[in-house]
Formats: sequence, structure tokens, C-alpha cells
Amino acid sequence: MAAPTIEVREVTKSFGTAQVLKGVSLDILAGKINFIIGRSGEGKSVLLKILTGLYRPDSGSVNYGQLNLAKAKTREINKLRRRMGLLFQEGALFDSMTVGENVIFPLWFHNLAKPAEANKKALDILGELGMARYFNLSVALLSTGEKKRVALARALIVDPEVVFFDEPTTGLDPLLGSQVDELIVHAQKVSQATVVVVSHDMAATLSLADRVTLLRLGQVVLSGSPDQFRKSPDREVVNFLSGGELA
Amino acid sequence: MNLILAMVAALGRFGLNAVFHLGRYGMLTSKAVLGFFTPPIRLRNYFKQMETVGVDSLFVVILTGLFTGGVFTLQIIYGFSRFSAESMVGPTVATAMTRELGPVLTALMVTGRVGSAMAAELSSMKVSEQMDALTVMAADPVKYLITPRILAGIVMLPLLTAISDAIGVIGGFFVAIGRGLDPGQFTGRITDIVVMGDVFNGLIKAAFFGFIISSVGCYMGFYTQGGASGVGRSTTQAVVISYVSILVSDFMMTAIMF
Ligand SMILES: Nc1ncnc2c1ncn2[C@@H]1O[C@H](COP(=O)(O)OP(=O)(O)OP(=O)(O)O)[C@@H](O)[C@H]1O
Ligand SMILES: [Mg+2]
Repeated sequence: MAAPTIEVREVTKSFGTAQVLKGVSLDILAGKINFIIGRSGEGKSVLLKILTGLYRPDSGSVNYGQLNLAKAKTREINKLRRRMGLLFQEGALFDSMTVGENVIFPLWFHNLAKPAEANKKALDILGELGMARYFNLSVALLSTGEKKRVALARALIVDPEVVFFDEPTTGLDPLLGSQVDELIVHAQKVSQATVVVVSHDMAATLSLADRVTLLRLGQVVLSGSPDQFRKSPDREVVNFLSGGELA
Repeated sequence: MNLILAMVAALGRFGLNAVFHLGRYGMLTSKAVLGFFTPPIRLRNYFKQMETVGVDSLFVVILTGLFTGGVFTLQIIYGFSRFSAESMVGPTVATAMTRELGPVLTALMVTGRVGSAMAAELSSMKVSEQMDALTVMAADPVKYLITPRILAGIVMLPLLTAISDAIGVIGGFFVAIGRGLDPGQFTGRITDIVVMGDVFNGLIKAAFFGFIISSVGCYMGFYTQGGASGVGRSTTQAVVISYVSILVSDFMMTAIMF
């Protein structure tokens, strides 16, 4: 099945009195690498949670083809989720389990592979991330960057058709960061996945993205190709690219 | 006048709050119970919880049973011997253990050990987004986390209680002998007086307490909010609410059963 385009239309989301998203509309291009950028606290992580059905929008729609996540039943969303991956900003690893158990979890839970196969697959992905030797270690003992890589492996192990990365390289050293970037590009190529990356790394954004979306004050400032971003006269965009944004 | 209004308002708030929590608790536990019947069933998960609830609590339960039976015997031996009713010491200890002390004290101990741990574990999973991670992987957190815990509570509490009953009687036995009773005097009439119904009803109580311990622990953990301090709060609340529910429901079940 081909990866779907995701149409986000006029999505709003508030927590208490704070309105975080104020009518966000964008298209996530199918089979492409989509970057979402914006300053800290602008609602990027919230948007990813809406795209994965973890939060329901207060209004607006999120359409995967015919399926509108804002209205869909959990059972329908779950069907979609079986071909979905999400790397949480903080990893969200199961800290009572080992590295290996974490990575294998989706395969194990849904009976998608025999134990030996699953182990091998997990070791392969962890190997690419330099984490294979920690296979039997409890994740509670890992450093932040190590946790991030394990979480990345867990998001990728099901060969997702749609995969979301919340700041995959934040907290990694530059060398590892570019390795992770390569892995994301590679994963996208192999399974023609739709990839959504939230990032603070402008260089990576402009070089890897097919489509970039800038959020500001709960709305989309610009959604377009990296070239459109480089050429945009919009002050917000210029400010943002010229490094008003650091971490 | 204002004071009265304020009191009525506070009472109303309390009532609304209680209804809200009871409703949410009811929905969560029924969802968890339905989880027994929907695939995929992950047995490893169930066994692990049974181990945590049952095997890991064994030591405290044995210790509690032993000393409870012992001290109870100490207390009654004194009174009973004044009426030359020494032969009633054993049966009385056995009745008290199986009907009341075994189930209730085991449940209270397990609440402290296991109910609090469930609340703490689930709430820390909640605040660190591990629950969301489960959801995104299409693994229903209720079914994956709560269903096995509730089953473990219902199955393991009667087993622990049976052990506690037995150990309590054994503890009583040694104390009685220490105080000069004949072994035969202690055991002689136990089987005449304690009927299977006593034991059985005690175990039913225990199963219900097991349900309370896990469901309350899970409920408090599942709906935690607000970081590490939220974890601490839910843990304490889980213990307090379980204690009260166990004591109240014990009274009601006893009134109905015996
Ligand atoms: N569950 C929640 N309850 C209340 N407020 C929330 C919740 N989740 C997010 N928020 C609020 O929404 C706003 C946006 O948060 P979000 O995590 O999406 O920011 P972000 O763009 O990802 O920032 P960063 O780049 O720092 O990760 C924040 O002000 C945050 O406090
Ligand atoms: Mg974020």
C-alpha cells in the first residue's frame, strides 16, 4: 500500500486557556521528507501527537485518505498505527525493559516476527546506530543520546510507512547527528515512507527536506520547498533561517 | 448564612468529584476486565504480574500471618484459661485467621507493597509518555498494563491469604504450647468448629480485596498528572483509598456472608 498524503486542515488545540494551535493547515507529502520547524513551545510536539492520534484536535481535520483522525474510532486509528512509527522527543522508552526488549516490542506485541527474526532485525538497526552492544542492558542506565537512538530503532523496526521523528538529532553529537540523518533518509528510500521530522537543525532541514513547514504563534507561516524558504522575503522566515534560533 | 452556603457548596463539590471519579474508575476497570477476553493475550505479561503480586509478597505475608496468629493467641489464652476453655483457643484462632485476620491483614500488607508500586509505576509511565508510546504502537495501555495487574490481584490474594491463614494458625500453635497448652488441646477441636465455609468466604473476600488493590492502584497511576510530584501524590492516594475501601467492603461482605 502506498503511503498516504496527510491533509491537515484548520486544526486547533488548547490546553486550559492556552491555545497552542490556532488553525494549522498543511499537507504532509506522501513518500517524502517533511520537516516541521518553529521555536520552542510553538506546538510542534503537540502537532505530532495530533498527527498520530494521541491528541484529538479541538476542531479541524487530519485526513489520511478517507480517514479523519479527528473523528475516527480508536480501532480504525489502530489499523493505521500498525504501519506508523513515532520517535518521542524524550524517547518514551519502557524503562523497566532492556534495550532489546524495547526495540522488539512492536514486533513482539503484534506477533509480526518470530523471536529469532525479531532479535536479528533489532540487532541490525541498533548496529547501524552503534547501540548493538547494549542489547541486554536496561534502558534506565543509558545516556540521553543513547536513549534517543534506541527510541529511533524502536520507531523504525516495523518498517513504518508513515514515521514521525520529534527532534531525532537533538542531544546527539554532530557526528552521530549526521549518521541519524542518513538513517532517516535511508529508511525513507527503502520503504518509500512518508517522513515527518521536527527539527531545530536548520542545515539538516534545508538539505534533507522535500517540504518544510514553519510554525509561529500557532499558525503556519510558510509551507514549501527548501528553495522557497531560502528565497522567501518573509521577515519571520529570514529571521528564523539566519539563526535567530539556536537550540 | 454564608457559612452554611459555603458548606453546602463544599459538599456539592465533594459529591460531584466523587461521582466523577467513581464513573471514570468504573469505565477504566470495565475496559480492563474486557481486556481478558480480547486478543492478543500476552501470557508473559500475566505471569510477570502474578510473580510481582504473589511471589514477591510472600515474605511479608508470612511474617504478618505468623505474628498475627501469635499475638492473637497470646491475648485470648489469658482470657480463655480463666474459664478453663483452653480447648477453644485453637478453634478461635483458626476462625479469626480464616474469616478476618488472614484476608484483611494480607490485603493491607499487599496494598502497601504492591498497590503503591502499581500506582507509582503506572504514573511514572504516564508522565514519561510511555503510555503514549504504547498507544502509538497500537498496544492498548489499559489492556497491556491494567488487565494483567487486576487478574494478578484477583488470583494471588486468595493464595497469599490461604498461606497467611495457615501460618497464623501455626504461629498460634507454638505460642499456645509456649504457654503450657498441650498440642492436642490446641488442634483437637479446630476441625469440629472451623468449617470449610469460613475458609472459603475468607478467600472470596481476599479475591475482592485483590481486585480493589490492583484496580485502585492502576486507576490512580493511569490518571496521574504533573510530573514527579504527581507520581508521589497518586501513590499515597492509592494506598489510602485502598485501605479505606478494604475495611469498608470487609464490613459489608462480612455482614452479608456470615
Ligand atoms: N498535555 C499538555 N497539557 C498542557 N499543556 C501542554 C500539553 N502538551 C503541550 N502543552 C503546551 O503546549 C505548548 C507547546 O508544546 P510543544 O511541546 O508542542 O512545543 P514544541 O514546539 O514541541 O517545543 P520544543 O521545541 O521545545 O520541543 C507548550 O506551551 C506546552 O506547555
Ligand atoms: Mg517538542
